[in-house]
This record gives sequence, structure tokens and C-alpha cells, in this order.
Amino acid sequence: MGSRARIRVGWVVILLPVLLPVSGCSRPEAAEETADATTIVFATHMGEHPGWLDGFAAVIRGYRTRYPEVNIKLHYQPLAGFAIWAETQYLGGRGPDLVGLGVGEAHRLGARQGYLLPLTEYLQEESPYTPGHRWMDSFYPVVWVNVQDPIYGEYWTVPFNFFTLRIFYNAEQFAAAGLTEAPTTWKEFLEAQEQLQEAGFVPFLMPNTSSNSYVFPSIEYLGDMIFQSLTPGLDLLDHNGKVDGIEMNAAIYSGRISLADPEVLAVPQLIREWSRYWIRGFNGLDRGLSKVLFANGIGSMYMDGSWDAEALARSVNFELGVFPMPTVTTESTPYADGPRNDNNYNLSFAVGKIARERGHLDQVIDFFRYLTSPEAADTLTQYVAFISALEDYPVPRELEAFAPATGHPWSGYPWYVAQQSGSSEARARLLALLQTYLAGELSDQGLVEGYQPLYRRLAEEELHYARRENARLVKEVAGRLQQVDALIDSLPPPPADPDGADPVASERRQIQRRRDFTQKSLDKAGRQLAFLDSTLSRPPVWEEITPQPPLEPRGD
Amino acid sequence: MALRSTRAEVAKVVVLTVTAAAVLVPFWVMLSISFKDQRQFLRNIFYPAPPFHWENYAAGWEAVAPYVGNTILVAFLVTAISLTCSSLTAYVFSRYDFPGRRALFAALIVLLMIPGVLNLIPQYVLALKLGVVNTIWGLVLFYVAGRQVLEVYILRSFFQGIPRELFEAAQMDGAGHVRQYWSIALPLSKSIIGVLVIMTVIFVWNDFIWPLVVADDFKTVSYGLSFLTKQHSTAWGALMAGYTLASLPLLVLFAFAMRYFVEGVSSGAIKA
Repeated sequence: MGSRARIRVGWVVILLPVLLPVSGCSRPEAAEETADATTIVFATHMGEHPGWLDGFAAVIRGYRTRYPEVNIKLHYQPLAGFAIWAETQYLGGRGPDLVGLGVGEAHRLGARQGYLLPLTEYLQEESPYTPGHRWMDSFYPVVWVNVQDPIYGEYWTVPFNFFTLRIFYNAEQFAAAGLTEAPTTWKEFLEAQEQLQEAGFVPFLMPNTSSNSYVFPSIEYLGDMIFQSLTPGLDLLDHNGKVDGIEMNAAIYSGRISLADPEVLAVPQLIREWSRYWIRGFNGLDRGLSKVLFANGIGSMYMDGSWDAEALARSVNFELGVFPMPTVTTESTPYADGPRNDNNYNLSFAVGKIARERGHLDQVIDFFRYLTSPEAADTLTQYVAFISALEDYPVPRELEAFAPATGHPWSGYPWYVAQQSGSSEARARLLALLQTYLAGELSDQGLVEGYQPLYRRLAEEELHYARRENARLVKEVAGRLQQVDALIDSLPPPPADPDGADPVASERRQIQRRRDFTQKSLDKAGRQLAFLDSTLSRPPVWEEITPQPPLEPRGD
Repeated sequence: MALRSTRAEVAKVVVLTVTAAAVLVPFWVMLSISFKDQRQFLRNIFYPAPPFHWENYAAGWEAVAPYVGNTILVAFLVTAISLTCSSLTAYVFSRYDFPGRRALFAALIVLLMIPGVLNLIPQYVLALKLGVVNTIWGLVLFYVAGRQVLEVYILRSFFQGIPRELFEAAQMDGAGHVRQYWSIALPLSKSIIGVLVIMTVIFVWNDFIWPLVVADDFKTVSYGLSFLTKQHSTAWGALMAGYTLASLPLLVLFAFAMRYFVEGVSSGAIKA
């Protein structure tokens, strides 16, 4: 070995012992390291927002005053890669007991991967922290709309708070344009933008890039204000006043709704009219850039969520105003028929099945109920301002402008093909078409014709997917019911006083509740399967043979 | 003639200056933002202006510091093991003649076409079965395996470009294959090995997903940086300070290996 080679090897020998001690350092402890029957692992990505981790830690301290023997480990995992982290942790049998997950991810990890515990049954029970109420009754009813799994009917997550979208405006530019109040109706909204434009301002900074469009939330807002009258004709499965994914796909399949319907077309038409006031090049503007432009006074309004309100207020040096999406009235379209309804973007939590394997599921559920109790909200509000998902919990004064408009019927969105299978194909196609449409290069007819083939195909595929999954679900729930029946049969005979405090009676009552719940689930799954069978027993409306008029006899 | 030559020289300098400036702009912007608070960031990102927020560097250091040692160690092990294995394999493919050599090499190259992200879950299951999750080997073994195809492909092409006569002469002097590999193939491939060292270190340095899922106690720098990236309210100053700090070891590596890198790239081997 030459002298230079020896020197290099020497460096390695010197460096390795230096590096070895400094390696192996890692800030957050592994989620599962201390997981056992007395340690609940609670994983969240909310550490990115100041105050939340301290707030959750205080909530944990509050819980431990009741149960000092229970340890709760708060694990902060950044949002980047959070879902894939959770999935692999569960795959390895090491995931957190309680985990913050978005609704879509929870459906995937719960229904398809089987890592999460369905919370539906627990939500029907009374929470010790809200005596006299079922756990789910403490929440705004609207939060459950998004959360319920469209195929399985299960709730995989419990929403924790409300984030709402609002329009932020530069009050100084409004004043300079002679606007003294924020608009409340769609007509006033467009007039205000006309005034701002005439005063030389860019009225609205609308991001509409592929991953960052606020056009979709706008479609949802406008849809709710226009499609209410369609709801009774589409809500045919469970008649609960909302149109869920299966009902919407069935309506598309059966022709009860069509993209060419004037009410349905009214939404993109309103948005196209609005887009006259958007900054040039909005199809290349993303959310981050729209905020930068707004903060620099280039643009009088932009859309953002309550999650960013505090940071935005600190970042601008002009007077900032906030107003909700204005209400569409019949002054703007004859189809306006409903109030504004805030979609809910919640922080929500789910329970890993691993909690059962660790033998502390009841404790995890109890902590979860405490976490979503008014008492925990009282603790958390000392650290962060947030809008609780609890219906009776007051909205903090600083967030009053973001208080959600809730409780209105949910209409469903005919422009979306509800994606039970998790496909994002329709959204990508619709965005591409909307970009062209809003740029004025596509007509109403072009938009409909461009979107319709995919829209129809996906609606049909999604229904078949839902049917397959539903058939599987019916079998599974029927099996569960048999198990519960067998369990009831195996119990000793009922005592003389079935409502007494006898432990056997108590166990029997608990199992009977489970049986009733399972029976209800089976009935619901059965109804859903029958609905899907009935819908799919006929060809889609676009394949039905339309009777042709008889041919005229030829004159020759 | 002299005038034309001067003009050409000026044009060359102008083009190169503009190109270099374009390449350096992102670095400049990164440095500029690293001294700003959120309000300054929203106002202007292109040049730093007082007050300078040095505390961003403290936040950036806090995010990356626990992981720098891990990353250097992992990068070192991966580079050493990976290049040892791949150079031996490439030597075999370029110098040995055995039945099915072409088919085997083609089968290897096909693997280049599979996006790594598709393998994430199967890889994780494999790591679980091997019992290497949450150990340094969960990173090292999988990085080494993941680098093999590209490195073998590049090195084989390079080895094949070395004149056959050199190997034949060595053979006539009694050198076996090990000796030929060690004394001819490797020394003549310093430049391309330099390129591969840099590529491997950058790969390890930048990878986020694999350390995230497989190494609870042995995460790397990019994971630390993710603590600074937020969904809605990223503190850009701290994030850019973190990026600046995290890129320093790579700059040092480039300073040492630049000569090999330039030679390797200009030799055309990585275009093979």
C-alpha cells in the first residue's frame, strides 16, 4: 500500500470513531418504542403550528390527573410524509394508538388496509366527558358528513376542529376604490371587483395550478348555494338530506343529473364571470405566490384558510379584512336556492387497531373521548386559538370571522365523480378543462363534451367498485352478527332483574348493544347493496337505445 | 482576424457569465431568504436587507444538527460498499465472457425503469423480515442495493472503454483478474468513480422517504429539514438557513472531488 493510500485509510480510521458517537442521534423518539399496555402513543403533525404541542401536552397532563397510572407519549411527526410514515408503522405492527389523519387517508388505512379501528360503534355510546349525550352528538352534525365512509358507512376518524376558507382583502385598497363594506352577495362581490378594477387594482388573486387551485373550493361553495333543490331527487338511498358519493354516481349513471343541466352549468358559468377580475396568468399562480402578491399589495383580495390568518396578519403592513364567500342570490342566477355552507377542513384523529393488540383499547378510547371533550378544549384554548368541532363550544373572539356556517343541508357536487376507489383522474381532467374554460378558450358545450366521457366512465366504474366492496361488507357484517349471537347464547341465563347491577347482566346488555348495532350496520349495508344492484341492473343512461324515428320513404 | 477572435472571446465570456449567474441565482436566493423573517420574505426574496435574522441559522442548525453525523456515516458506508460491489460486478460484465451475459445485463438494466416509490412498501416489508428496521443497516443495505443497477451500468460502460490491450498486456505479465481489476480497471476509472461518489452521497443526503419510514433512530438530514417545512406557514428564513447548513458538507465534498467529477462527465461515460 502506498503512503497516500495509507493516509486515506488513516483518515477513515480516525473519522469513523468520531462519527459513530455523533450518529444515532435522533430528535423524536420512535412512536412505538415505549408502547405497552400503560403507554398510549399519540401521533400528530400539528407541531408545525405554534402552541399545539404544548396544548396537547397540557391536555395529557389534565387526563393524567384522573388516571396517573396511564402514560401518554406525544409523538410529533412533520406533515411531510406523515401518512406514509403512519402506514409503514402500522404495517410493521408498530404504529401509534391515536393518530391525526385526513379523512381520505383514514378511509384508505381503515377500510382498505385494515389498520384502523372503526369508531362508529363507540360514537353511538355515551361519553363520560359529556354526560347524557352520545359521543358523536357533541359535535356539529355537519362534520360527520365528510367523515363517514361512503361505502362502509363507518366513521374512521373523529373531527377535532374547524378550519374554514375565507376571502382576505386589503382594506386600504377597498377604501381607495370607494368600498366601505365587504360584499355579502355574489352580485355585490362582482360589483366590488369592477370598482377595484376601475380604480386600477387587481381585484382577485386566484390560484389555479394543478396542485394548488382554489377554484375547486369555490365550486363547492357555489354548488351548495345552487344545488339544494336537486337534493331530494338524488338522495334516494338513505333519505338523510344529503347526497353522498354512491347516490351521486347513481344519479349520473341513471341520468337523474347531467353536466348539461342548466343548474349544473350555472356553477362554472358564475366562476367564469368572476374570473374576469382575476389576475392575468391565474392558471400559473399557486397559493404561495398568491399570498406573496397579496402581501405586497398586488391584488386586493385572495382566498386562504383560517389556518394562515394569524401568520398573514403578522406579515402584511396594511389593514387586513376578512369576509366569507358571498351568497349567490337570484340576482345572479335563477338557480340560486340555498345559503352558504362552509365545507369543513378538520384536524381529525383515528385509532389504530394496534391499540387492541396492545391490550389498552378501552383506555385509548377513553383518552380520545377526553381529548374531544369541552374540558380538553378549555385547556387547549389556553395555548392556541381554534374553532372546536364541538357544537356548543364558543368560537374564540379572534376567530369569529372564521366561524363556520353549518347545519344546512348538504347538496353534493355534480361536477365531481365521487371517488370511493381513490382515483384522482376526474379531478385532474376537470382542472385541465377548467383552466382552458376560464381562459376563455372553451365554451360551455366544450367543457361538458370534454369532461363527459371520463365522468361517465368513472361514475360507472365507481359504482361497480362500490358494489363489490359492499357485497364483501354484507358478508363480513353478517359473519360478525353470527359471532355476537353465538356469544350471547354462550352467556349464562339472564338473572331475574335484567336491569340490575349484576355483572353478567351488565355484560349481556353491552353485548346486546353490540348486536343491535351490528344488525343496524347489516341492514344499512344490505339496503346499499340492493340500491346498487337495482341501479346496475339497467345499462347506463348513455347506453340506452333511443328509439329512432321511422325512416321517411324515399321519393324515388 | 484578431478583432473577430476578441469578439468571440467576449461573447464566450458573456454567455458563460450569464449561464453561471443563472445557475447561481437559486443559491443566492437561498442565502438571501435565510436572513429574512416572514414579513421580509413576503416583500422581497432577491436580496438581503437589514435587519438580518441570524436566529434563522440557530433554528436551521437545531433542525439539522442531530442528523448530520448519521448522514455522513450512512453516506460513507453506502458509498464504500456500493462502489465496491458495483465495480466488481461491472468488471465481470465487461471482462468475463459467460453464457447469458447479455441477457443478465439486460435484466439488470430493466430495473432502472421501475420507479423507486413503487417499491416502498415491498421494500419496507423486506426490511421488516430482515430485521433491519430501526437500524443503520436498514438504510445502508437498501441504499447499496438501490444504487447497484445505475452504478453497474455506468461502470461497465466505462470499463469497456478501457483499451483491451492494457488488460492483455497485464495477463501476459501473469496478472489474474483480481490484479487487473485492482491495478488497471480501478486506477483508470478514478474520474467516473469520483462522479459516482458524488452522485451516491447526494442521493443519500437528499433522500427523505426511506429514512422516514425505516429508521426511527437513525434518520438523516432531509428528515430534520422536514421539521422546518410546514403545510401552511413555513418559516422560509429558517428553512433556507437549514438548507444552507445542510449543503455545506456537500460543498466540501465537491471542492475535493470536483476534478474527478469534471473529468468523469467530460469523458462521456455517464452518457453511455
